[in-house]
Amino acid sequence: MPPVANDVSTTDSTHFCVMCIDDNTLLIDALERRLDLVPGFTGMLRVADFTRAVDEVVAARPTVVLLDVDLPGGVDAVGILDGIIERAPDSRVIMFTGHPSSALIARTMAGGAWGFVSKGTSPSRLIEAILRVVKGEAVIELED
Amino acid sequence: MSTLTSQSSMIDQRDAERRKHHAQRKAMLGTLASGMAHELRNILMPVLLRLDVLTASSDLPDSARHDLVGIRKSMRHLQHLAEGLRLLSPDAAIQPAERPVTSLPTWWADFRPVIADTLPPHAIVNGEFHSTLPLAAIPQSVLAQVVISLVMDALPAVTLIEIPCVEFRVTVNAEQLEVIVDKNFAVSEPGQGAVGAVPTTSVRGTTMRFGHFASRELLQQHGGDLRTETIDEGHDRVRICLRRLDSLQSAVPQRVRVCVQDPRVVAVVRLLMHQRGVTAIASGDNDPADLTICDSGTLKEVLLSKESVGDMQVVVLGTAPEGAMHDERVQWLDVNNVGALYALFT
Repeated sequence: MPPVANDVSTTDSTHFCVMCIDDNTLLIDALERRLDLVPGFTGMLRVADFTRAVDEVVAARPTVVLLDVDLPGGVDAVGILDGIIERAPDSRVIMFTGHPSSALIARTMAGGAWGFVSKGTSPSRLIEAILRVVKGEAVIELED
Repeated sequence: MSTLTSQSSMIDQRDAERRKHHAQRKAMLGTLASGMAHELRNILMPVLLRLDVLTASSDLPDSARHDLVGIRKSMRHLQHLAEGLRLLSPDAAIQPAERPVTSLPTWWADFRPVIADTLPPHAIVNGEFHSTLPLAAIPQSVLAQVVISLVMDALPAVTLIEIPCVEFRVTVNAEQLEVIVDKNFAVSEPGQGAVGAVPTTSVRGTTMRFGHFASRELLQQHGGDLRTETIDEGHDRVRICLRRLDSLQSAVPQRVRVCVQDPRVVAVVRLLMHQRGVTAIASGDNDPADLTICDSGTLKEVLLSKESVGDMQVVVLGTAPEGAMHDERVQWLDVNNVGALYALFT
């Protein structure tokens, strides 16, 4: 599915859109439905080709990027993070993984990610993490 | 004599091979469990998100809302089960540079479903871990592997007991936490030529099964121990001894002030401090701190502040600029060096 053009400013503090770089389409669809309930949410963007993820972030300039660390096909998520930080620094990245480790947390947060969320956390805390990052807070959410 | 020596070395070799196979089997089961946990998570999060959407609907009948709450409770139970399964992964152990900790109540919430689901449906698993327990100085994954090893060890006996009962409770003293596992059955060491475990209510000997042996070794690597005792006929007890994190911290800074500008780095430092049970002091707070962590942007302010007296130590996250004046109170640290960061609190 090609990414939806983002017509709303990503710098508007009352509105935000999210781009999901994740191969779990069930999650992306459900997350979009859930975020539809949040005032200010303008839309969910998807990435068709993970090898071109940075280019798509640069083109769409989402407010938040939810980046799955465990992408298929050997795609380097930390490399994607570095690319986004370099070319689209206004888009705030939240790392999302089923295998959190302190080294990965330190590497990605010090490397510019605004959030780090474990896939074992509850949905409400995932939503809260996204909203806090939109507001400019750094968030680390590990298992409940 | 040479025949006896030869037989003894053959037995030792056979024992070593059996232990090796036992360890390999555990690692394979751990990898399988971890894979299942990953798949479960991928399904559970979308289900829980959609449940949120449904329950937010204002025109839902009460009976339907009640049903959705029940479904959410089941899904959260599955989520805890997935977390518990993840702890069994051979990769779950954290890197050697770190000294991770376990909050027993959190660990129990995740791992109790795994214990209960491993035992037959008619088994009773009891336990109560209060939120005020001190932190244990052991990785969650190691504790999980020790306990699942004990549970699997007991399975041959459990299947033959009418109502097998396993109870977990904790005692605390200044040095350690003891997780006491009481069970209403005993497992004896198989004798030579015997096949499998023999459930018995007779008094146990002091020999350990391979599961216990490996578990004791694992615990001892983290300053703990494992002891077994027979209380009376048909009542066996295992004591899992764990070091308390705070008993290891006498020379560690306990009160740390963080004056770092980048909120992302602050989040990492606070996470590490939380994992070590270290108190964070707000930068405007006048309370004395054992250590101040700052960055190059706030270093001057920290050194000139009224809290910067005596032998207060300062750690600066970053690289010292060329020509910077040497200050004995100041240590520069690369924020990417997680091992060094943890070393501040160990």
